[in-house]
Amino acid sequence: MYSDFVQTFFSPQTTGNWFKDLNPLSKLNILLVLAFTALVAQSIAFGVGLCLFYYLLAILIGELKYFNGIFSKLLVTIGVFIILIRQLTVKGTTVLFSLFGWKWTLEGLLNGLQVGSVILGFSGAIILFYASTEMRDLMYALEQKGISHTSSYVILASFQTITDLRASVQTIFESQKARGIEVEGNIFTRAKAFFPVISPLLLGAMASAEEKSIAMDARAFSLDTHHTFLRELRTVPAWEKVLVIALDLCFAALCAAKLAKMLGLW
Amino acid sequence: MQTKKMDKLTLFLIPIGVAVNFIGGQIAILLRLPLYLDSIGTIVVGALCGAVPGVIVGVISNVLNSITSPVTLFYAILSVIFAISAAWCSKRKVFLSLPKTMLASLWFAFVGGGLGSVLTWILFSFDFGTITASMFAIPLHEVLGMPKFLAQFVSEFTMDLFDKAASLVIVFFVLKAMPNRFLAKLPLGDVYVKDAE
Repeated sequence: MYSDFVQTFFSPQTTGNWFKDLNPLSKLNILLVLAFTALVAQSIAFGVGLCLFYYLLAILIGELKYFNGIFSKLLVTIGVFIILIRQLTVKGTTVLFSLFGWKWTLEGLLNGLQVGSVILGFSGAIILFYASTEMRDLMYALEQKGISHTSSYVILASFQTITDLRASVQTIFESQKARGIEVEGNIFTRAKAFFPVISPLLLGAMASAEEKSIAMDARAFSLDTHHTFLRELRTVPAWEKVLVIALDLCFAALCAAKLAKMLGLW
Repeated sequence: MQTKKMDKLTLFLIPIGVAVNFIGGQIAILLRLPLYLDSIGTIVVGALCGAVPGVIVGVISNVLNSITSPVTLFYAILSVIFAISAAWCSKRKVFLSLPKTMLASLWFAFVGGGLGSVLTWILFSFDFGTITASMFAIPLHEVLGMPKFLAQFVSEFTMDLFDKAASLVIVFFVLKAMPNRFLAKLPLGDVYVKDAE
């Protein structure tokens, strides 16, 4: 039984989902190609189609809740907002309808839809990447490509430090309130409360960095030798490499076509 | 990343700088302040450890911010300039004097608001972009007749001026409050080491 447990760390830890189990760098490549295709294509139909594709992919990988949670907020703050302000800033002549005297034009609507779909087409790919990839897997994949283990530490420790400091800030905030620091009132009163909160937080965190540096060195953090890992990534199959190269070539062809069109060569 | 040449303390300060960038914004929300205060970590690490660690803090912060707002990836270049500027100002002892620090906030606001508005302008197809800046930019354009780009530039610069002035004042006091024992171990810490009374 013990041996079986140990063996799990030597074999790749897969999820059973074809997309999630892609190599993190392959996923990054595929989704960055999709993101930048949205920027290059500058098309409403393509942008909207891409967003629907992201939703479909999010359903297929079982991350709809995570994806929709972030994407729907962007849909409101960027998509809807851009459509609204473009009605104010883009002067059109084709009036579609009037809303309490505010004339909505086709030109403004198309402009808003285009910008909104491009930005959302880009953003969706990035959100989907984070939804489908664990940061530790990405860093491990990068380490296999030659990035130092200290870089992995820095990225992964940043996540942990954010969580730790979030907990500390609440404690410091409540403590300072108990000591009589005014956190309510006009803007200047509230602004004055910022320093008593950030100062102990920052100084305390920096002091802890010193202790951490000693503790990590005591555990051979700086030793330049082969490292062992508690996670293994599966070997990249040939079809995955072909898929990535094919997508890259398609993207290069799209960029070349766009450039040729801009220069009037095509 | 050039983490190999960095000393250990600088390396361990990078995640703290990233976290402070996030927490600064969180405290601003807790205190209901109309400021971002999301580059304090980048500036402090840039001022104490130099440009490269500061740049790493800034870029990682933008990458982590992109989890919820992917568009922030495009603004990573601003964090790079903040870090380089912080290291430059630190070497020239700007953060030792409050008036000089306040003066430096003009440059930081120009980078954050001015160059930021250029990025927004390009990203949003040469028109108004982000919500907060547009709330000021649209009236400037519609009521005062200011050209669109100028209206965007003025509104973003003005908003960022308050933000960066507040951030730099906080950085000034934090650097002042740091103990000599700690400063002595950092690459640019000697600038802030206080004489023994």
